[in-house]
Amino acid sequence: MDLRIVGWRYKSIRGMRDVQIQLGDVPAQWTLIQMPNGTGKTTTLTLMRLALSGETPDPQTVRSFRPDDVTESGEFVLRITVDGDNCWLILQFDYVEGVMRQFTSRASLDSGGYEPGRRLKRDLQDLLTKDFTRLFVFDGELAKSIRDLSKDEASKSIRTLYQLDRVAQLRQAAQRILETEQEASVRTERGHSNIAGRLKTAEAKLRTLKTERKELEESRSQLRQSIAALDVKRQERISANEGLGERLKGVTAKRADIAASLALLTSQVAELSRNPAAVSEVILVRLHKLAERLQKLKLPKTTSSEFFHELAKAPECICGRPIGPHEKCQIEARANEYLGHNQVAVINAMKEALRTSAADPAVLAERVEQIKGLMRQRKQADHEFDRLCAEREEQGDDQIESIRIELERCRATFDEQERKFLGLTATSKADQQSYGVDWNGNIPLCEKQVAEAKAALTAATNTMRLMEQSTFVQNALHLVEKRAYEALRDRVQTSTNIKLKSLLPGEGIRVSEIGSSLMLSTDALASKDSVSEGQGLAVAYAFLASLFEDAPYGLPFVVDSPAVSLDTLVRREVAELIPSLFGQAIFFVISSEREGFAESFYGRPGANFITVQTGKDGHTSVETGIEPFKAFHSDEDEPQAEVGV
Amino acid sequence: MSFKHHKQAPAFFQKLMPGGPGRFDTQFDAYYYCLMCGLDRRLLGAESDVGEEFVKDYVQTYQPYADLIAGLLVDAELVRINIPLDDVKGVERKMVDLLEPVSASKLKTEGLALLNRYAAGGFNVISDAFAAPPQSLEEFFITYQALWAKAADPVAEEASDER
Repeated sequence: MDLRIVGWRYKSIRGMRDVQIQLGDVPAQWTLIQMPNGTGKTTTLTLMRLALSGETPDPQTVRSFRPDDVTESGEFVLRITVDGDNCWLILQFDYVEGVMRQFTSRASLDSGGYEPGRRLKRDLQDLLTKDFTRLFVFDGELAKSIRDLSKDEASKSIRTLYQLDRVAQLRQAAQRILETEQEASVRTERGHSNIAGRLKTAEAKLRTLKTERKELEESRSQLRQSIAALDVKRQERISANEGLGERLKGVTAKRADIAASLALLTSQVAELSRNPAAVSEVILVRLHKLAERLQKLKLPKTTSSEFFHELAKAPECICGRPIGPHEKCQIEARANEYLGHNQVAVINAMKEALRTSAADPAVLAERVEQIKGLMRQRKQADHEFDRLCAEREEQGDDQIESIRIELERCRATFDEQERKFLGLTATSKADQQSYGVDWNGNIPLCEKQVAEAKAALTAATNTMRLMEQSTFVQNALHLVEKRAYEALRDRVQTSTNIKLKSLLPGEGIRVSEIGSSLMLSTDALASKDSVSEGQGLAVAYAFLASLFEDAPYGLPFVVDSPAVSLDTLVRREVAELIPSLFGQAIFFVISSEREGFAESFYGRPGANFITVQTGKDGHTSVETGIEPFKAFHSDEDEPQAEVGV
Repeated sequence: MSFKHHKQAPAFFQKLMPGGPGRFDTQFDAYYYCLMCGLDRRLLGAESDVGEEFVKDYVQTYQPYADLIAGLLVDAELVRINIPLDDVKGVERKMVDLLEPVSASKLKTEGLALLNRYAAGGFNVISDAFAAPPQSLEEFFITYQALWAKAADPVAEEASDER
């Protein structure tokens, strides 16, 4: 991927009122822009970094671009090409609010309009971070931190440029996926075994409950048979006596008749009592009273809310007075106090039902009295039956007594087992609640518990597997990252030292280690902790040149005053070294850097010279060509201190 | 919203719940007998006593009486919250609050929730009246009828309401 700077334009920016710099559609490999000190070189580099990195500056930085107190807004547009495609990165400044808004305009866009934010091709979008942009839109401060042992710019640079950060991101993604899964399932092996234990317990309980159900089914069936057999046996014992047998027939027939009459009567009572008016005189009176009350209160009113809603829309009231906005509002508000058509209808229906509700509660009471009578008869028949049994017992039939006792025991056991069985098999929540059973005593609930534990265990097992896989992937990625970094670091170090040999031949300064930073040594010193500014700059250039040598990206190299702190000899070396490393290099120089540095480019094919000058009237002129470049001189550009290396 | 028993009602009526001759035709029968008692005594059960839904709407046998049951609820609520007889707006507002034209039960959600609480209150009255859960329908009807015989004298009550 190849990124080139094609030009830029300032509008109402400090030092640059309305200026455009054009490097041509196919920019020269080397552009030297001569600008006097204090006319906007640092500002330009800052603006380029903001445009390329997409970072958001603080209000103080935004206001630092303000040309005067009157100007409220400004703009900087950086035109670049990415693999030959044009792209404009636009920064708009609101000096009053202290905010910057960024837009992107791309030739490929049909609309040709501004898109909010910085929109580059995906790889560049991720690559051009704030820190990384400082490496090629070169920040002089970086040269100092490169050799500062407390910073880690050197290793960070290697990691960023060769995208080792991506490997770290991949590692974090593997961890993130695992954590998400763990959030939903279990975090540890202990959690996994807890779930497995829960399932085991639930499955064991279900087996026990099912066995219990089977036993209860069998037992109840046996009890039913026993009760029936005991009944038959008892009747047989009574019938064994001729006289008693006849009486037994009579009692049995009487009991059957009573049972049939009771069934009929209870069914009639059930039917009758479904009408609330038939249940009691109290209810009947209340129903009629409510109907009367509604009648008395004239409820529901004959006027419905719909009438008033309609009226509110009319231009005048039914009394002929006009309905203005105020009246309309009032009518609408009060309309809601009236019932709607539907509500009127339901109240009318209810009123009618209340009014016509008719039943004679005495009939119900009479039927219940009949039931009472029948029950008395049944009791008598039962007593008669018991008497027959007793008489048989008195006649010396011991078995009849034991049959009776056994029958009572069987019936009690059956009732108890019936309740247990119903609780064990209840399926509705209401029944489970009323029997007071949970999954420990109810088969459907226990089955649900087993299913839930199974699902949880499956999820936990998958999570455990994922944890092993994630750990493996993370370790592998860590190793890849470590080894790749070491290999790249060693290559950059070797290459840097080769360049330093020719740049700084005297002392034999070299990079002894790229750890958290660049550690330097010389022929005589194992650790060289302090270097001059010029030496530092030379080390930084050698390092950057080596760093970008095999980079997968073609990036422009933009540097401010590249040689001002170097002596003439080193300037020539730097001038030889840097240009060959970049497909495009833009040097912002002052007139004093012409000697040794800029003059090395005179006559080179592919070198472009631009001179930017701002007059006392604030007007800025831009001249292209080598002659104005050579001829320009500014007293303010004398170097403050030339540093020998 | 739907009809809900008192939490203990299914167990109490276990021997009478549908499932053969000599039992209720539907679970709604048990609910209805409790409801009538609760409405008669204007006795609201605790919300926490109300159990799970057993049926969504009126069963067929009770549909003809939906209007009357709604009327009894309105009547019970007017007395419970003490709305004077001549307060037209109060009575009308209460009816608007409780009644829902498009619902099969003719009641709004709030109305049905109150109905369930009256049924729960009625269950407390019934279960107190029985020494043990009823074992047969005939036994239930005799005790249930006795509860109504004990209820307030309608003539005396009418006189009291007029005051």
